[in-house]
Amino acid sequence: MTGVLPILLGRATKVSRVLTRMDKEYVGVLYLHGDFEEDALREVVREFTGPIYQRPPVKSAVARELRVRRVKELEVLEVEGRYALIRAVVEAGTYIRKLFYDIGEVLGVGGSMRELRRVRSGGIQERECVTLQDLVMAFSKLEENDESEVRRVVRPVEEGLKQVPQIVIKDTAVAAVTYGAALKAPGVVAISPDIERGSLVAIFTLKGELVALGRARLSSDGIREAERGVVADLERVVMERDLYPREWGRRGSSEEGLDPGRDLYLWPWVDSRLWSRGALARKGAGLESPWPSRAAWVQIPPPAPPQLNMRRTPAPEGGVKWPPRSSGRSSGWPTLL
Amino acid sequence: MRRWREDLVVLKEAEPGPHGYSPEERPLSLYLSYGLIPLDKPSGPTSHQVTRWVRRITGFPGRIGHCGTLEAEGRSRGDWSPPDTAGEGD
Repeated sequence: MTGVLPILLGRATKVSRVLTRMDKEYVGVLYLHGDFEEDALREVVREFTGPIYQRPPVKSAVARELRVRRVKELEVLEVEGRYALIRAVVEAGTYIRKLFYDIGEVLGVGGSMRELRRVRSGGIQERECVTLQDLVMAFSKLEENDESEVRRVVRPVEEGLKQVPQIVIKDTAVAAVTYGAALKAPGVVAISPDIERGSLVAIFTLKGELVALGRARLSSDGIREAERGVVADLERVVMERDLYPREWGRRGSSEEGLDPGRDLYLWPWVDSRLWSRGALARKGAGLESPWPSRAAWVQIPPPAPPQLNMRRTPAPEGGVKWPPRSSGRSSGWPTLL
Repeated sequence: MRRWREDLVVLKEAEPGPHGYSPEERPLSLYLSYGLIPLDKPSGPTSHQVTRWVRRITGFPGRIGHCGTLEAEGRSRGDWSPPDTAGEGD
């Protein structure tokens, strides 16, 4: 079996379930174990178009229960002797070997699959594919600092999602989504017209980066009219956090003065400071929300000095210094604690 | 605005800000970790074996996965012969 096998790297693996469930297109050789009329074969093939029952074969990775799969297109391309070349567009999870075997049975002579090539997986066509040799060549050029070949053989994961309904969101909404917030109407900039209630949607930035996969709560028309409220719940966040600055909770901030964490986008730095001071044993530990509110993290007291020396190692001369002195490097940032 | 699909309906005007990267212009490490390899699987090895080879070729340290398993062998039994000679003996 040869043909299109999409391989996902790193964070892109989060969309694998979506790509796996897309339709596949195959071209295969069916060998029939007896002589047959070509018209009879075409008739049988017509019968197998549409929903069919299939029990997964003995050698398969899923439970062997009778299940329904939709054969969207099925046509005989060529017949030569007892061999038939067949093209099939099927729903994910259809076993082509089984389908061909069943066609042979219904034809009355029995048959088996001899060759199979997947020519399309979702939106990925055979002609876009690269071979293992291409991969080796491209990655060996990396040693000469030539990235262009690698960028040709590896594609952005967004290209595989062109068939999925899409929502484009504002830059200010991106961080909230990457932190797990459901997508709300004010953040939506553009939508594709094929969104239905409950359908899977891919959420993109204005630059075209995939942010997350979501489940639409409204149809395209509903989203167009919505002015507030949740538009889509999240299924999988793909983009990493902190590529876009956090913009939530901006309203009413002016009278409280400058907030370095929010206004200067210093959150990673603030977190690391809190962490090094032991104020956050785990992110957000001891706080009611997973993220410390501005008021909370300014008031977190430094941890109490250790009282008991449980290990019985001699205490250092002059007692325990607490809090420990920083390394002396001045970061130039204001001290928070 | 970057359009992955022609049929996008724009609801409000917005311009991309300074943050993030357009997918093709990500720095290489980021580009790879949002990468999809449209591989043409050869006949013989299983999909999982091919995925392991890709890991070795790319040297990519993170997760790697394939979607949609393809059977290993193109030729199921030993009795396959090209169409012009087949069907005569049986």
